Amino acid sequence: MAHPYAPTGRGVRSRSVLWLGLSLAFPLALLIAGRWGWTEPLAQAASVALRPLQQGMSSLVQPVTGFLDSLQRAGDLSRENEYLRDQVGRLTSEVIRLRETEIENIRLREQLNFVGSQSLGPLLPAAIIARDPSNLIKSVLINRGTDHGVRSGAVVLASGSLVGKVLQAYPGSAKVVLITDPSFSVNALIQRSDSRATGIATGEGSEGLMLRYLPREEDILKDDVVITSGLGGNFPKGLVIGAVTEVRRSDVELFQEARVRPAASLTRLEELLVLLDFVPSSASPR
Amino acid sequence: MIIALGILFLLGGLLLQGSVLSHLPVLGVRVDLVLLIVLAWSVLRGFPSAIAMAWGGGVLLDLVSGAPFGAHTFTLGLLAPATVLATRHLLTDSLLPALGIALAGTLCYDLVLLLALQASHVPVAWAAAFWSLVVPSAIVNTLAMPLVFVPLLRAAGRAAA
Repeated sequence: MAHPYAPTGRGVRSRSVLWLGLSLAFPLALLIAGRWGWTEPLAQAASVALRPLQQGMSSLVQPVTGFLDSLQRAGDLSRENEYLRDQVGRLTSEVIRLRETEIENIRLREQLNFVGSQSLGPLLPAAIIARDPSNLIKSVLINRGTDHGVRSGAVVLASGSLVGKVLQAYPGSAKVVLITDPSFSVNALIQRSDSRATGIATGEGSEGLMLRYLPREEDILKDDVVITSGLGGNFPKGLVIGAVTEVRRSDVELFQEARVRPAASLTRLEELLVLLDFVPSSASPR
Repeated sequence: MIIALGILFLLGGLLLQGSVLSHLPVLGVRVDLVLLIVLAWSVLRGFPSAIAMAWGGGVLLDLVSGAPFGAHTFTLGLLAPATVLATRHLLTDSLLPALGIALAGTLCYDLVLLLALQASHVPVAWAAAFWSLVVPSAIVNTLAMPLVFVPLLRAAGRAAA
């Protein structure tokens, strides 16, 4: 069967151009309206209307996806178990050492009358109800919004590490852009006693980040932990971002860069924590 | 009536794409169900319902996506008429043109979306995005097209009858 609704006969070309023009007129108007923020009420209304559907779908598929995830991971479990046992041993000795350091730190702070100890403040638990439909964008929708005190720019954590920030907050939900999204960047720091190199960690659009603008002379090693530096004021200092998996250094470049694997498994995230009290500044990169 | 059916397909596709399919990645990507519905609809129905579906699917994607608002609608608004024009002399109830459209359509969709992101000052790593996301996505969507096209072909036939 040839196309039943295709334009035929004379004037086909002009009609085709007309259809194409008409088809693009509305999206162009939307793009302009979106750029000026005029589509915000529409997005808010849609988020309220779609939320029950997304939440229902999410709770419906959670047992199935949990089962699928466990099937996918079955092969890795024994290797992961061995790795975790090894980690527990190393971390236990690390905790003991850090406890000693903390006691010493408190004692020294008391001696100096230092009043600057900080905590992250209240954390709001939230569940992921939908993921971004596009493969190119790394964002999720959570079931907490302005009704619960969530604001645009709020920092989002999971398992104690940074996973993203709130892009847009609606009454009952919020869009969270993940750290692996290409639009995401954060000032970062290598956490090692002999290297405190700073750079900018940017999402790669796939599963990792790229730490750029690291001074060439700094000695960056594989498995170095990367944390937020707090520079710029968009994120609190000291949040774990991930670990270095690869270092790229060239003789002709001023800077070196490192590929970073996020500390949290972003593809398997189900629950998140939103940092409510931290007020981000708009002075640093997005 | 037929548009209402299409919108229902789009809504269902959107909900599946954002939930179940995100847990079932193939080659590291998931199926773009809404894109496939719009492309298959354009092959089967032509103007003007292809445009209505492109707008409907685009707005739904824009509402839930972190991309700049309007980017999905623009991309689908470009692809739907292009698909109608590319397939107007072909056998539209045959699967083969639909597979070709899925492959070419996904490549165009992802590349236009990347351009839209770059135009919104989002840094795009073109080579990495092309090989790790665009190409796998085109392969996966082509393989998934029959699962979308055949039910839509039947639904379109039933609605016409």
